[in-house]
Amino acid sequence: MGAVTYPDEQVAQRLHDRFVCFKPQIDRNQELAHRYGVLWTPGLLWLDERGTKRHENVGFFEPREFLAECTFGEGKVLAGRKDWPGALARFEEVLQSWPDSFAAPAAAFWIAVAARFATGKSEELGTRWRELLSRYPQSSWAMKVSYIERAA
Amino acid sequence: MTTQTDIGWVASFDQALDQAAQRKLPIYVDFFSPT
Repeated sequence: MGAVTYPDEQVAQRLHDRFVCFKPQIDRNQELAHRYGVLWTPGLLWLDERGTKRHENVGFFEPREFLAECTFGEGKVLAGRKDWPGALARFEEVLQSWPDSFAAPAAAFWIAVAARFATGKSEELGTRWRELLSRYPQSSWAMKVSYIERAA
Repeated sequence: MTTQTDIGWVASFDQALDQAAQRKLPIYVDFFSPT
C-alpha cells in the first residue's frame, strides 16, 4: 500500500480530505489489532468517530480499487450514523465512478437498504436489488438477494 | 514538479479518536507489517 497506493495523488487527497488516518505496525499494536479482529496485513478498517468498526478488508488494493473501497467504507460509516441520504450518495458514487470495482456489487446491495430508509419506501429494496441481480449476476451479493426472483 | 498531498497520518489511536471527534470525520486504519 505504501509503495503504490498511498503515493497516488487522488488517494492521498481523498484520505487527507475525508478521514483521520492511522497506520499502526501490527506487531507493536497487538491489543488494538485483537480488539478489531485484525489477523493479517494490510488490515484495513473504516471506523466512525467513536471507534466503532463499520467496514473492514484485508490485502492490497491498487489505487482505483482503493478509492472505491474507501468511498464504500465512508458510506458504511454514514449508514451507521443513520445518515441514509449521505450513505446513499456514497454508494451511488461507487457504482458511478468505479462500476467494475470489487466494492461495486456490495455498494449495489447497500444502495437498496439506504434508499429504503432514505425514502421510507419499502419497494425500493425490490427495485434496487433487481438492478443488482441484473448488473452483477455472478457476484456473491446477487446470491444474497436471489430469493426475490423466486418469490416474484 | 507536482506536490504530493500529505495524507496526515496521526501518531496514535487516541489521537485518531480525538481528531475524529473534533472534525466529525471517520477514521481509516491500515495495520501494516514491516517488510
